[in-house]
Amino acid sequence: MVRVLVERLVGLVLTLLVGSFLIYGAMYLAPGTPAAVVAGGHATSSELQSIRHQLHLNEPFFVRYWDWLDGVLHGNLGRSFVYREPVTLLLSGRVMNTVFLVVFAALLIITGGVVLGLLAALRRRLGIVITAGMSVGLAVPSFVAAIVLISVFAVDLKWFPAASTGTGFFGQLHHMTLPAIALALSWLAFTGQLTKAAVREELAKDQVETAQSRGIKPRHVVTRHVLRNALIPITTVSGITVAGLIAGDVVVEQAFGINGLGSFLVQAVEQKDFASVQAVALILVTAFVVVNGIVDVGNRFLDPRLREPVV
Amino acid sequence: MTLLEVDHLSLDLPVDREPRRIIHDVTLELDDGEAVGLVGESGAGKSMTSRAVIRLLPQNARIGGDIVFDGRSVLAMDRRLLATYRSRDVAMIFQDPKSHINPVRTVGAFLIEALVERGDRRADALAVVSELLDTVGIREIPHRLRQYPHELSGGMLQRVMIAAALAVQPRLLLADEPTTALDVTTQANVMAHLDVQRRNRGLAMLFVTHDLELAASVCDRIAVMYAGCLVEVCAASSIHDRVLHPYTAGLLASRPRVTSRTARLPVIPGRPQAAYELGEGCPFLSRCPYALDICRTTRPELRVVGSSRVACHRAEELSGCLTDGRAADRPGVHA
Repeated sequence: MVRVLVERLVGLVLTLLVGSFLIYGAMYLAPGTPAAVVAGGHATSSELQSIRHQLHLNEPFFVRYWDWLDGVLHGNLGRSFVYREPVTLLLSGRVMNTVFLVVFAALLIITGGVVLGLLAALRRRLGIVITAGMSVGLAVPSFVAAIVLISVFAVDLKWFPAASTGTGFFGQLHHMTLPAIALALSWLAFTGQLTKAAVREELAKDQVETAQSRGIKPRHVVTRHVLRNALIPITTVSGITVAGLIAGDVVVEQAFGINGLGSFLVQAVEQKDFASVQAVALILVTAFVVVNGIVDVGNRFLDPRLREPVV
Repeated sequence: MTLLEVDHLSLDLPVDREPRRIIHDVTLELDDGEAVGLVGESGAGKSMTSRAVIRLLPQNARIGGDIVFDGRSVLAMDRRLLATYRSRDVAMIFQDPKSHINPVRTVGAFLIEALVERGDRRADALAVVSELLDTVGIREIPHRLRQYPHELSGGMLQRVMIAAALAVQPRLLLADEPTTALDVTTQANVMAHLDVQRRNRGLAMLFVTHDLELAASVCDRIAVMYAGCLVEVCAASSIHDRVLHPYTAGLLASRPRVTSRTARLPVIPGRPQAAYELGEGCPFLSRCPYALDICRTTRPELRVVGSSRVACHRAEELSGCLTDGRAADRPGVHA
């Protein structure tokens, strides 16, 4: 087990290294130079030249990448050209909003998806209704869900605020409910469909027949011999789901005017604020890689066949 | 005393919404402590018959007739009675332990599950199953209990399944081809454990197999099924010298002999019929070398002939000339 954990950790670091290189390289290849952005539209070539020098843009690519990486490893994500402030400072207020939103949505997806999927697989009539609902949910993009939720629950019913972020845990919860639902909806439907398929598959397996032949209560047959086994594919897909959440977060933060990483990323891209874009992209990639690593290790706990034999 | 009565059991399963007959009118009794071998080719309905005894059938199955265990109708039991019946009176040993024991739970969890479910304390249940594992020849028991099914060999896992079945102290064992999925060398070992434990405890057993010789060696009586019909029920001891049905004789003849070398194994001509394909006459009609006109028009009932029961119009005539070697010499059974 320890060997596996070490292997995973090394793999994780390598993935992040490759990821950081791609992020840095992509910004390097993007059209428009930071110097032009900083100098504004009417700068002379000598002004541009001095700015390039100031920003070390004349250095070779690998030297600049190394400088950046060295900074990142020391907790310095660079300076924003636009705000003329360290990126870490710009992010610190925004990170928690995004974390709150994504964790809220992930909890909705996992609990809602598993419960709905289980009901869809086990109950005949209710299952048809839930399956139809999930098919619709799967097809609704998060920005459409956001607009519908705002107009119904914020504008008409006034149950939830339409925009901005709240204070305190419950204030946040209140403000984040609609965004989290908008973000979670299609992934919840996806997880539900997957759970339904996994549960159906396990229901047909031999271990269920054995449990039934021994007079085990149906409730226990489902928890011990169906859901327990179905958790393996469900967990794997949950990892992929988080990737979708991180991408979808950008859209939902824009729609609800949440001051988080997603909306900051959109602004930074528009303003060619290279350091900020690189920093946010690096955080998102890190979150994705870490979550997938956790899922991978988690699966080893769920499925004894993946573990090393106990000698 | 009669423990189990299978009374005119019939079973239909829908295929493309059309009901298809799987079992035709099977009637069979089992006494307390008696072992009966249910023998036949794949698809003869023997496995379905054993599952009907524990009501482990597809939801859309239509069942006719009745199954009576110790005076109570199994088919009429409500959910609670059925759960009690399954957890105390009968225990089933399945063909493939690798898939019939949940692969993600430990061997120990599997063994004690049924006992804990009916209210035993964990510690007591563990003591019971540990002792049983010892009697079926498993060593290092505390270690085995913590292992997962994939860490045990097939033969060991099947002995775990046998121990789990014995743990609930049932009165009837249902063994559905318990050694078919195992290596030939472990088959004999597992079968010996099952046989010894059953005899020591005086348990009744319905032993489903396609191996007539094996059934004859561990059972008191043999019931032969063909195309969903019971064709012969006889004492296991008479299988070699007083077989009455041409199909049973064909099964015996098509087994390889260790004592004599034959150029080619005798086979029963034609292919096995499915229960739903049968016409008016005898189920074995198309493959029988002794068929007469009456066999085409009237299906033979299971009737008493000597000490056996047999479903054949010509049982009396053929009596004595079907046995083993001699049957193979008759025209129509190709050697």
